[in-house]
Amino acid sequence: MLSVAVQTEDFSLDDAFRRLRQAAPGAGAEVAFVGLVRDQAGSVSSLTLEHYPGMSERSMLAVCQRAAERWPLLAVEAIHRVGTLGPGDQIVLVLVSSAHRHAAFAGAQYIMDAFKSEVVFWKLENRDGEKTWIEAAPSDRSALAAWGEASGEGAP
Amino acid sequence: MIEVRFFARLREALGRERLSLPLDAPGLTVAGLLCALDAEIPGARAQLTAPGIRLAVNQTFVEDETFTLNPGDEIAFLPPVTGG
Repeated sequence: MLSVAVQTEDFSLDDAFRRLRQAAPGAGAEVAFVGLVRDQAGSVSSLTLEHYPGMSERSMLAVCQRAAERWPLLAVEAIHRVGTLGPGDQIVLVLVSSAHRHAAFAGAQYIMDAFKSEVVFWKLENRDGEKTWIEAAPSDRSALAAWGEASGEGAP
Repeated sequence: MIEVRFFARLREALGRERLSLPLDAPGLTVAGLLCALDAEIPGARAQLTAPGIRLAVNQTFVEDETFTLNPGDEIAFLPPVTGG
């Protein structure tokens, strides 16, 4: 079962694990990734996440579907937050369950690598009152390419 | 009508979030839309075809400027994404 959500409110890892376990009671391995707002040198006062409503969910689901075709995943739950967040806040959650650890680790890593290049969200950084759109990192594109996929392949 | 949307830094650069263009002629392509947008917002074409800008038609990525649009389509211009 694949579940994706875009929301302004925070998420609870405990609640998400409970839902994942209910969705895949026979799982033998669960992997979680949580992305946080970094605060380099203590100067980021906030991060605002914009998205393309509708396409953001579709693009997340398409990535999770590709992961589920590639590895024997039993359940995936992905949550991406939007709106204005502060240092240390949770931004994104990817939870994956499978019968064994290799598929769970690989599936979770692939989903995050693909999220970085394929899901339609943008980050606006507010640093000491100065607002800057964050640039896409070339390393994110090469991370996806390392899985044998160019950005745009199999996109929604 | 063709609905056009701009996101993130493109929205700020063009000073517009969305616009509707009365383009109902059959066979309109993405390339044709870009010409119409450039007439509507001078300099838009260069911004919208800059490296890394992607296009979605009805919320699906489209890579080809010869793609044909239909009345009622929603076209979005997307700067390189930075989520996750």
